[in-house]
Amino acid sequence: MTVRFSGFLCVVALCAAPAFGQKQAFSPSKGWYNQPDLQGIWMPAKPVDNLEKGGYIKDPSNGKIPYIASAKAKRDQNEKNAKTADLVNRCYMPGLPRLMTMGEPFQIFETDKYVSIVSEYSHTYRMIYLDGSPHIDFPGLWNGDARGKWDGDSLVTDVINFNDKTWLDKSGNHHGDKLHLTERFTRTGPTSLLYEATISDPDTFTKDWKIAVPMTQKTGTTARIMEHECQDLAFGQ
Amino acid sequence: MEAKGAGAWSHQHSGYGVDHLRYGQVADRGLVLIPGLGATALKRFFFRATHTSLMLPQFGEYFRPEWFLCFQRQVDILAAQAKKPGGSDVKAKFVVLAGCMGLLSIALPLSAHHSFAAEYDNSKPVSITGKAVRMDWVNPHSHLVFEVTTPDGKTEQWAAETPPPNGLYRAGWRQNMIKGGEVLTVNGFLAKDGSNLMWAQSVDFADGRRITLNSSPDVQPARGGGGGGRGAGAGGPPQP
Repeated sequence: MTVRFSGFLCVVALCAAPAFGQKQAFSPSKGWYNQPDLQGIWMPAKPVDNLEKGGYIKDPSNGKIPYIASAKAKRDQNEKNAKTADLVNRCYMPGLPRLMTMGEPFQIFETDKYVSIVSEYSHTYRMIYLDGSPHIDFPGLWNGDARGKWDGDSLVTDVINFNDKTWLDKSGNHHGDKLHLTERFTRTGPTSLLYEATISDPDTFTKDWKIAVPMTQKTGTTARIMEHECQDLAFGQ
Repeated sequence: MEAKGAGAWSHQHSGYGVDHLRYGQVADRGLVLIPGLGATALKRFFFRATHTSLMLPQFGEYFRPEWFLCFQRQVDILAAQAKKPGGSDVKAKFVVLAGCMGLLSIALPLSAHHSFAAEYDNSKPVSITGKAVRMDWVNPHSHLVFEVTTPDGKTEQWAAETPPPNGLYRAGWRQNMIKGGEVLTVNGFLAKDGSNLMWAQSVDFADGRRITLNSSPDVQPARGGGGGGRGAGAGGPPQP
């Protein structure tokens, strides 16, 4: 009895020791499949209307998208014609990373074989396969073809096979079909997640650039992904 | 219960709560002459098929009024045969069977989910050879556009409609397969409106490959997920 009690005291002491040291980085629980648990309903702290305004661009440090000249002209054109040129206004899928950053909540489900992200936007979802399989030979996808793996407590994805029809935000920032997206999902706290993405497209940008968008979790018993039907009213109901 | 006007014909008591008089008049006259085919069971089946709510228009593809008319017509033929001196009873029976089986077989094609039957004539299978122009990889149906040289030397542009991109992918089709200019043979069915349009059931490439597209209602059921495609279905994890 005495030995056990002192053993218990030792364990308590050992556990207490780190609390006197530096602040620990948050480590998500390991969840059902013994991998970092990113599950929950997340949305950006603020909807990203323009990636260049709001401090979302971490690299380059000037916070501007490194367009090639012709692509920058196209961006300005897009911004002017956004009402008709933005396909989201006609209920098409927003693509990536816009689906994550546009301000619609999304729910992350994970198993050991895949992570699936269901967006509240117009029944749009994406699957990130964790099985190490190669990308499919199917270009021209709206949300790309994603594979993921765990890097410490982060989910790192590799997404390709995009079409050139989607925008990066609602302000006309765009990309081509050679877009190669590398995302990183890191749970930074019990109700916060950091979404980072490296955007690469040699046809549109002079170099790769990086964004970071913090997400907060919708919690409470009323937090649910709701139905959303996008209705292109130009064609009636 | 005696049927009105039954005359020399016998009748059956149906017991289904339907109009016994009509049953006695119609079904009996036809089916009583096909003994050995489970006459009673056939009677019941055909009577119910042609006298129930399945005669509503939306079921028109499945249960056609012709089945009923078939019997009327054949019965008339039979009656005429029977009236002729020396008229053959066996021949009459054969006529009934052949005629009705013929109508049965064309009543079966499904009104498919994408109204295949409304647009294409699956009684006219064709194989057309031409040079590929391009492939429109779009939803809800993709199109293979190809150029055909007619016997008198003119070139016509033809289009073959295919399943949507996901269906093409699962059948083994890849977007870079059609380069333009290669000779291929499209097997399928002509459009009913007589235009240069067909439904592609399979495509034969010059190197001998054939890709079969499994969305036509007359083809065998789909083989499944296809080569590298993700399995379809309600959210199961991808197969290893």
